Amino acid sequence: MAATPLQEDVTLLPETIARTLGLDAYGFAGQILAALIGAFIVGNVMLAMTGVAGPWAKRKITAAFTDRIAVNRVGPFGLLIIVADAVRLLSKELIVPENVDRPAWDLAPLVVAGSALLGFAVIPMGNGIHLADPEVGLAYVFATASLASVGLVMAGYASNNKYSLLGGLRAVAQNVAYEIPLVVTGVSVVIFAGSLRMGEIVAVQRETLVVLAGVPIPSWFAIVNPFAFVLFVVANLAEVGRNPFDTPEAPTEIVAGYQTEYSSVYFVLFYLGEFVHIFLGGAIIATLFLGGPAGPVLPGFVWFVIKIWAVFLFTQWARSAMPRVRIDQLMEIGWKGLLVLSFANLVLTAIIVGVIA
Amino acid sequence: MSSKDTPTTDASTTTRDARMGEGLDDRFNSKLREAFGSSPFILTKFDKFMNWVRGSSMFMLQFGIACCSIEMMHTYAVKHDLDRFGAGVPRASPRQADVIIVPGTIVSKFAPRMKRVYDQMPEPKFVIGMGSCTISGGPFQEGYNVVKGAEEVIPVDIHVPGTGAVLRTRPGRGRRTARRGDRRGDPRDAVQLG
Amino acid sequence: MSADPDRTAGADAGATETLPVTEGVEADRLAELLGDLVRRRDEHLNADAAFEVHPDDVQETLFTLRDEAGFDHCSCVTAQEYDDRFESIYHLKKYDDPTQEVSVVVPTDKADPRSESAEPVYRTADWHEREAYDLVGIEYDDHPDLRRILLPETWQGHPLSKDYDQDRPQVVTLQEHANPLEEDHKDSESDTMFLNIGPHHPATHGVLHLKTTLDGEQVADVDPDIGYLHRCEEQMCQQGTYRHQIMPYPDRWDYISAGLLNEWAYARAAEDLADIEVPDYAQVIRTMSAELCRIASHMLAVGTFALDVYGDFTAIFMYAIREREKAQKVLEDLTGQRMMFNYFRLGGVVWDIPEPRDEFFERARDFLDGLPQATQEFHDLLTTNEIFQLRCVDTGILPPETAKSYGATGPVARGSGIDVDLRRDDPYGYYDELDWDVITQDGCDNYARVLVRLREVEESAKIIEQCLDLLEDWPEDDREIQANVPRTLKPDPDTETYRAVEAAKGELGIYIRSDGTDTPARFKIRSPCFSNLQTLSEMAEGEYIADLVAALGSLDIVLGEVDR
Ligand code: SF4
Repeated sequence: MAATPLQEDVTLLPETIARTLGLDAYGFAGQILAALIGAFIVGNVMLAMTGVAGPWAKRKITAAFTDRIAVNRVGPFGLLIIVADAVRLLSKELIVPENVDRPAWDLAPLVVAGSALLGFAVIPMGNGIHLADPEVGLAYVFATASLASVGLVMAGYASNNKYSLLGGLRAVAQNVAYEIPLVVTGVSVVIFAGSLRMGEIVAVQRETLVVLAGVPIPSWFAIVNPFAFVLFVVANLAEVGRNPFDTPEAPTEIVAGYQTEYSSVYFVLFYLGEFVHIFLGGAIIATLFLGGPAGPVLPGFVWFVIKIWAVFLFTQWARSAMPRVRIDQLMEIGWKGLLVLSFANLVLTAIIVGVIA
Repeated sequence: MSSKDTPTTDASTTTRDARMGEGLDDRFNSKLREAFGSSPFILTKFDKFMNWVRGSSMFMLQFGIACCSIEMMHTYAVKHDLDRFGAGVPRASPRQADVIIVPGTIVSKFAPRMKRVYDQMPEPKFVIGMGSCTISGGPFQEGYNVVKGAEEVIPVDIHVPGTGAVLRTRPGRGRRTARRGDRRGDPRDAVQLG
Repeated sequence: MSADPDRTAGADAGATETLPVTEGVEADRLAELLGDLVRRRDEHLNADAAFEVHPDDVQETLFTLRDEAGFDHCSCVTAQEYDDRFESIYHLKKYDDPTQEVSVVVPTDKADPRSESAEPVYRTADWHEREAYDLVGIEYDDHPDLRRILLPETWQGHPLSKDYDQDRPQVVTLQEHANPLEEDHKDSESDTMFLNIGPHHPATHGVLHLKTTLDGEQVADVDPDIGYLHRCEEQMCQQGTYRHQIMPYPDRWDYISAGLLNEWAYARAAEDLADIEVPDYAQVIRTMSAELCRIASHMLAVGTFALDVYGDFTAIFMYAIREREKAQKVLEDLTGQRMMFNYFRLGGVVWDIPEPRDEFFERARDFLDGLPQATQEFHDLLTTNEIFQLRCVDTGILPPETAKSYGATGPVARGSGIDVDLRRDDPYGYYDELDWDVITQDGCDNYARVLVRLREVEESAKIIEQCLDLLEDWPEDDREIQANVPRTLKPDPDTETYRAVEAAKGELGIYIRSDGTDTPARFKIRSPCFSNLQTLSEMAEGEYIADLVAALGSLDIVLGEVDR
């Protein structure tokens, strides 16, 4: 397929910043500064989104599914709940239980929240908001996303609580089981796109597949290969630990899983981390399957955000409507179902691409 | 009814004292205030803000004891929707909860455990005693096994009287718990006795 | 003659199987069967056959009764203290025909109250005897594990015995629980982990404590530890007067809005004791309101089960609560209360349908009209959901034989294919005049139990529908809501009765012994949840934690009723 990158014209965000602020002149140090500023902006945008999603949107969405209204007393549409929730949670006492394994216990929330944020570095978000575009973009995203499971194990193990331990163990088992189908399905996209580079994957999807009744249908991989799309979305649900795969938290079984012992700031970090993770999952799905920032009329970044939120909405929907599977069934679905299917998909894709090319 | 026959009297007194000092509830005194001395303007505003924060957003502990907890569930659920007030996220782990609603009769076997759950919550924490049982033991006051009110075990901020039909009081009241002095009227505050 | 709770008083046309006449014959036949084991014949209002046996002959007697006479249901064990002796009474029934009842009375020595345990015969006796030991102080030889069940281990004295001093301080401390199998141990074959689930845990529906031993994710051993809500209900009832003071308490046994069903249990027993005839009109109101309670209760059961399986306050839970709210609204119109109804009185109900009647009927019918759609929604979202089936079908298996031996009743028994429903088998109220079915499912698993509840809601709706029709057309001058009951009730001394109704969770029975005063000398509650909960370890051992939680949810226990 497209061997020549279509995205030569796109400049990365740090470069833009460097140029506008005139940091170019400072050589390497300037580049680093520009990169930091860019990362700061992107990170904050993402955190702002999770800030809206966590305390407010999640409640509103769940409420809509369950015939309720949810927050409406504090500020317009209850939006001030975001402020209230954040300040209140941060102002709570941070309890450090006895016998926790100190450095690990403290690092775990950081790892969980940080790892997800790292992933956004290589996601092209449209309008030139793209921090870096390394050759191994996709591999990098998967790598950072799965760092979170390390954090979860740390949290579960260090908490000195049996429920946490169970939650941590479940989290690893689950992440390992679903990471593989996730990556393998991702690879099938790479075969189509011919590159691991995120920018290129997006660029490839910009081509028109067919024109139906005058409307050009882009060659988004969700349309080209819906099977892989479904697989990926399902595996992603497990990856971010949402129903029906929310076994690591499983409130009615193991209290709150790995985060049982965390309060205050650390809890906020976990909470945020979870949502950043969902958004990262959404961003990966958007990039790999939904054409990234592509879309008519509206600017690219808006489309990108819309797509992430669509995925977020989907996870919340699944959460409201689907029972949780049991841990052994989860493993079974992962190893016997998704893994096999994803390999089948990979082989098929390889054959198809091989025949076409 | 004397509280002599309740097993936990001693423990409760120490808890209360330890929590409140001599007749003084200092849970709202921040380090800042200690440093600045008696309430300067900024801190008053800040206090107001914090009260608003704590009043507008609360995580409840998912904690059911007896009959009252059924009505408590109803407050979370569709019709009454406690979440409107920003308090509709029941957390299963006490570490993440702000408010513990004690919904029911406390008996000797449970009292120490309830104390423990309370101790596991991070400050600032609030306790709402729901129903007559948490006030005095309610209909079961004369029982050999019943603790005569939650106050014997943990300090209670708000008592909601009635047995069973207390539900309509609670949303507004819960908010008020956190606001303390701020008694802005809320129609839902009308107490309905059961 | 439908409304006669006092079955021994006369011929009961509603009873299909045994007529009181044959009951006498039956008793003689049983006495013959038992032969020398019977030391004395007694008379209980519910059971013609009340045999007094020697403390050492308990097992033999019960084995004979179970194996040769078919009394396969030990519904309750009542322990009590007289001035000169202790007594344990085993209330036996048949699952096929609960109207056939036998009481086996075991008097024991005052100084050394010991008798043989019935546990080898009926597994359910395990907990019942532990309770008897705990509260009254009778010791059972041969019992596998005789320790306190409701009160803390450190409790001094037995509160329902005569010499108990309530004002004596008790010390209860927080104890860490020990691993019932062994210390967390590690060897080459297995390493287990001990886990306390509860008493404060989101899945325990209240304050139940499960001492669980895990082998990985699997449950190696589970031991329910109850008593965290033991509110001395029996003591409270023994202090209250028959006429007014007891009635508020039943509301608080099974508080999941099954209040009226509980009240009926007491009403039935007390009316039997004092020989009160309830007017038909009141019976219809009772039947209707009780079924509304059943709907409310089952809705919550389904909702919380969904909560256990789904893991969060999700749509199903909320929809269930929504339907419950509607039922509660109708009940509130009728009784003035949402939960603690206190609506029944001995001999009837406290007041008539609220004026304007039409409005009430309309509202009730509105609720019923919406119900089919709601249950359909549950079937769509829940029972036909693949993941739900994956979770529930073939998990938490409870074979009928085990269920019987544990004395399981209600939806739990019916979900195991045991066709038992006191409303039909031992009719009371207006049930035998109405057209409805008993729901059973053969699945024996969690799924079957949920299905039974959902179907029962539909049946209850049918019953209410018919009651509404009856009430609407009832002649105005015949609306008698209460029989004439004396201001102070003093049943004859030493009358004993055990009467049960089909509450939301199963057979809710009340044993009352009167001593000639206006308060009961012994008031014993047979709670269905108490017996049902015992089956948990059978269902959960060897399964995953998630299934343990689901099984617990499908038992639909209420701690208020388990602990009383
Ligand atoms: S106050 Fe009433 S409703 Fe509440 S727990 Fe006590 S008895 Fe039950």
